[in-house]
Amino acid sequence: MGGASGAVRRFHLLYADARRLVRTTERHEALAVLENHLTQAVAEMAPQRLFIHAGVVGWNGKAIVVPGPSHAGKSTLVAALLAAGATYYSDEYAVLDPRGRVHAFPRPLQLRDAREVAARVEPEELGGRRGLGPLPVGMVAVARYDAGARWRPVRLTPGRTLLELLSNTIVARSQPEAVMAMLRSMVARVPSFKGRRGEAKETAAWLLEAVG
Amino acid sequence: MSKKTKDGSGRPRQRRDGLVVEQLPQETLVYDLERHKAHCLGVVAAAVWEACDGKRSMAEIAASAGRRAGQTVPLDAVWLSLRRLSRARLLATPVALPAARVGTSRREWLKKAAALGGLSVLSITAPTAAQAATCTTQTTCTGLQNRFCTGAPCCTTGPNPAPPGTICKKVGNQNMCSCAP
Repeated sequence: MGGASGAVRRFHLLYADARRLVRTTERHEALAVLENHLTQAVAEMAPQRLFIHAGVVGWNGKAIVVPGPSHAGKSTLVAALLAAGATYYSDEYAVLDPRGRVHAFPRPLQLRDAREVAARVEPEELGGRRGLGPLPVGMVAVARYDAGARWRPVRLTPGRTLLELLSNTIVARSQPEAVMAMLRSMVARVPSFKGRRGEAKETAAWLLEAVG
Repeated sequence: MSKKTKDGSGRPRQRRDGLVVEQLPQETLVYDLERHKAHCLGVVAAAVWEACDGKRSMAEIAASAGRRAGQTVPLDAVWLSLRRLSRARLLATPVALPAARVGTSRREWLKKAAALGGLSVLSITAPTAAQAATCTTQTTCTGLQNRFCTGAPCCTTGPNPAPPGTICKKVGNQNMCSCAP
């Protein structure tokens, strides 16, 4: 495309059907948008799978699910759990099947530095291993980062746990009936906690001990 | 003392249309398909809601709810529950408080509710698919140098929400990233 000076500026264009997703001079941006779009499409359309925005690790044959919005500190907590010996399932999505088991969605962790710049880190770099087979959920922990806070969680009722999960579920609006039916039996049998956390290491140790 | 609903019947009726209801052992979950709100009703609030058939008086609702909840449900608890159910738009017609209770402050209502227990009606707005997905906050995005733009959707909720449909990207020759369409 020609600029005012006559110099050629090359753009990367990405479309989904007729809708333009991005027009950028930066290749990495176009690829990031493509990745996000594909991930979102899979999360919305996967049959028999429910995608909940959450971090997930495995411990003693059970999954610890940490639901939360972006920038709640999920990846940092997952990294601390891996450093403490847990296996890696995801720092982005808990992928549930109709039996209430969590499947791995093991993309590299996205850890932000002090400048908020995200770096992709493989779980092995943090001393963790990747989980392979699906796991039953052993605990749901809503742990939002709050600088200086101490982890003093309160127990959530099954109903409140379901609301926490629903508020991070990709298809909450489009398939509410199916989502509620799928989560109902799981929340009735799984212990759930909510609190503000400070240092991830302290919270990680608590979670691993609590899930047993 | 007036105990009339706004349709004048004085006998509240639960709303049924456009709702998905799931029962849990001690709670009832209700999803409002029109407003995309999810509500978690405590045991007493759920029992009061179930008892609102448009035929029962307040005293009859209290008695029915008491049987259902397995505990005594005083009239105060019925009024508190109706107030909350009405605000959550789970009644077919809004409930008008009786004159004697209109002046009751929010603090007093909360005190009463805490003393009675099981009256909670906790509500959330269900997220859209984009809201539930990974996003970059506008604050974070605009603080990134342009070679670090994430290409992720910008968050449309929380502090400093970005306009819907924007992504964190380099715009023109700016040094910092922006949330832009």
